[in-house]
Amino acid sequence: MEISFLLIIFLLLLLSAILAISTGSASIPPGDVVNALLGNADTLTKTIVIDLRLGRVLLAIGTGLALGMSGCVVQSIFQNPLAEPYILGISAGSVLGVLLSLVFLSSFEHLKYSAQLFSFIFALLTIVLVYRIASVGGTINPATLLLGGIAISALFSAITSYLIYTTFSKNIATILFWTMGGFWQANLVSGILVFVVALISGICMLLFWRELNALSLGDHFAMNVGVDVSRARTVLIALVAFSVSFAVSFTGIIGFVGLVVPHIARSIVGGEHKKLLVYSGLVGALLLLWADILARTLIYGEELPVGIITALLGVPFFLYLLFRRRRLC
Amino acid sequence: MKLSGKLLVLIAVLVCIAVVSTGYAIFVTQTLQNERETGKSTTVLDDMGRIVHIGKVERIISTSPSNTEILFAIGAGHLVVGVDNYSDYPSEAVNITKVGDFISLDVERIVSLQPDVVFAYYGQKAGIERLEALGISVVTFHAETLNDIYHDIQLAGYICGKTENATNLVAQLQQRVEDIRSKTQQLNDTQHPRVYYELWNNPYMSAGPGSYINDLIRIAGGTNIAANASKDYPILSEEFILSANPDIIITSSMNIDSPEKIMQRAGWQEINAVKNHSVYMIDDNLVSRPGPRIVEGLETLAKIIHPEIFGN
Amino acid sequence: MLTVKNLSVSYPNNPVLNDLNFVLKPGDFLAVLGKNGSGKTTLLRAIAGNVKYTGEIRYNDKVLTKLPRTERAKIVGVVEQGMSPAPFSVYDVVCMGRTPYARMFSWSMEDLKMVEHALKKVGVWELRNRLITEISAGELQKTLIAKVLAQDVKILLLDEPTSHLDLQAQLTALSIIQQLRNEGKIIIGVFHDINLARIASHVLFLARGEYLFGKCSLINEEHMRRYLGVDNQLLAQYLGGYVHV
Repeated sequence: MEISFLLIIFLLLLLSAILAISTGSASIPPGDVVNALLGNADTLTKTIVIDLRLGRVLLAIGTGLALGMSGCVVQSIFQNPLAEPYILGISAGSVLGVLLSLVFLSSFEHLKYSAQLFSFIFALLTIVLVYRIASVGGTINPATLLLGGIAISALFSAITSYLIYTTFSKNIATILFWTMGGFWQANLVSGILVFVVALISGICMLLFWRELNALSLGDHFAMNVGVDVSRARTVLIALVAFSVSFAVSFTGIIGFVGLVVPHIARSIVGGEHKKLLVYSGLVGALLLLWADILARTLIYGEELPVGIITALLGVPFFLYLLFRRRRLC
Repeated sequence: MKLSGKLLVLIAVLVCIAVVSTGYAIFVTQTLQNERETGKSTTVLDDMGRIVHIGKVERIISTSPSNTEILFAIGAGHLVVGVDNYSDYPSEAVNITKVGDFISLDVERIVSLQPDVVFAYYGQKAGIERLEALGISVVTFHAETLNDIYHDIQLAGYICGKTENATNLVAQLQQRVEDIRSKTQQLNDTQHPRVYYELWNNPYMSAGPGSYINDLIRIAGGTNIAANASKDYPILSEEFILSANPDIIITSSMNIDSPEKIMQRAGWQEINAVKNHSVYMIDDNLVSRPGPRIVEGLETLAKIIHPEIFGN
Repeated sequence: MLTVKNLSVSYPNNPVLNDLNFVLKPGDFLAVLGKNGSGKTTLLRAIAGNVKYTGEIRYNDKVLTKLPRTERAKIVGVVEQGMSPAPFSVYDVVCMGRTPYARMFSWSMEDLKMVEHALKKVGVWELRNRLITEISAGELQKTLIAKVLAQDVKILLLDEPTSHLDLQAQLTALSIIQQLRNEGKIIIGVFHDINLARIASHVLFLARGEYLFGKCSLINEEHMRRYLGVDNQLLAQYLGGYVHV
């Protein structure tokens, strides 16, 4: 019964991916799409189908995977159903990094992917900084980590706001994109990179399934069954930071997914993390893939920011779950 | 979870998969790029200092309204096959295929339109990178002064093979500007009315040093009350505006519907501009787009600031 | 054999355990008695390795603090008083007892056999697919006992393990404890119910700064008064000589 459910989701994912590859502002008939994928098409069609669309699909799936699984991990490590992957300051660091690359590296305008590089580096730097702050005084406990993350996020947001104010007119486009998120910059290389990084991080997170299970029931419970709580937490946060920072460097800050997807997955398969992690990843990938399809097709000729769509898709489903739970009580 | 042999093997396998798939992706992308390479014989230096190779120029895409206006003004409008969402002048531009806005470009549509060159604008770095990676020639424009705008018109003319039109246009524009400047230069300081240009009302945003509006007000013979602000689009406090007591207030429909809205503001009745009903609305595109119509904007401002010289 | 030497635990400005010394052999059952706040739970935490202490706790020749967590979890197991609620099934929770043993991606056949064995022994096999958020407190306690059984440890630490159980379940729990003793495990339990404590082989009275360790026979009027602050006359008056000392 479980295997069949997994198969259904995989199938859904595949079908959605096919739909996504067939959709786009250039109308390409399905037959030509298939031919292009196989290499039998003119350069223009191949460029659009393989480089742009396939790249986009991979980017969406990879980001969904990373955000979904990271959201699940973060909620379990902190035993907090409101936790999401940008906790501990990843989003604040990423946006600040991008702005700094624009403001101070203007002479390096030619440096390709400088925004992505800075976003990634700063997001990771933020985590390290938060960890440093939290470890002052000996042991690191979740509460201190969270507070440290809030403090650093606030600081970086303030700096970001100042930079936005002073350089508004020049950098408004980039800022707006970064805070709303989207996949329009995707290409085959970035798509595959994000997908692969998300996959590898996800598998590494899966290796910690027992620790995650035990941690969900409390630090003491976990310690009593032999889990090195601080080490597990550190490694898992590192995995979350790495995969999310990497994805976000290419897509901007897409919110809501990391928060709501684990809850959706949990209502389907319960709290056991081998299943929960996998389903969180798959549901996240599905959600983002559909968010991208809708973002491109809802209004003819325009592309809406993905973050809006994920909220529109996710919230009703989330409310439905809440409602169902209420009634069961 | 221990650091066992099995784990290391697993990680090694995963890393191999990562490297191989990325390598494949790069290979495929490179192959596509090679297929796209065609003879591009002309070389241009754009406003960002980048060297751009261009071949024939028969299909142009503009991703900024000012570029669109320049292209049409030099007679290259028929070559434009795609424009950004905000390009609305001249009226022919409205019907051209739209390719996105400054936040996100529709890369797929741009690619399918098969442009020979894309006229982009400073601040669209991500889009420029993406298009260049796909082998499309992108020329980036950036103008901060009138001279920059003249240069951009010439650059566009050179690229489109309309150098004569461009040179003529620039000469005309320079003449019109000189007409105004020669008259306002003779005014002494006391004859410069204080001008407040309101870009936005919540909070009060004006145009400061580095903005076109600031330069235009100066040439038109006015004193911009925000001329000494810290940045090009500063946020002014109400106190500052009231104490500066502008003689003229200028704004556009992007900000408010009618001058009455400003004149009715509590506490603003004592401002000279309000007392004299010197609150004007103009088309903000005339003063914010670095294209040929900026001179029209200058003329409009001159008529408002010095009607005694330039008529109403 | 469990050896506790010079064990002291103090929270900032608050000494709780002071220079404890005792030894337990396989099959021993130690009842820890004391008023609230006397350090009973702290003692369990120290042996489990969850709190910092000075002194030495040794199992056979291994010093517990020097062991990696997974090795320690194969020796010491804890039946907690409670835990954060989460949507796990009874089966899942008992499986978590096998955490120190498990391989990379799944439980081994042996793991699953131990889990099944533990579930049946404690009597919660029928409940195995129910969520722990939907069972009673007593059933949860039985689940935690099953978890520790699956963990296959040498020392069991029980923090009031029978407080929510009905009589039948209490007797089952006690018989399980007896079985474990026969298998050579060491049991340390915190009890408030004196009667249950009396089936132990040894007793440890704890009071601020003081302790008394010895055979079970030490549970008498004098010690109860001294360490538990219990007035035996009151006891006799209300419970009619309920406790036979």
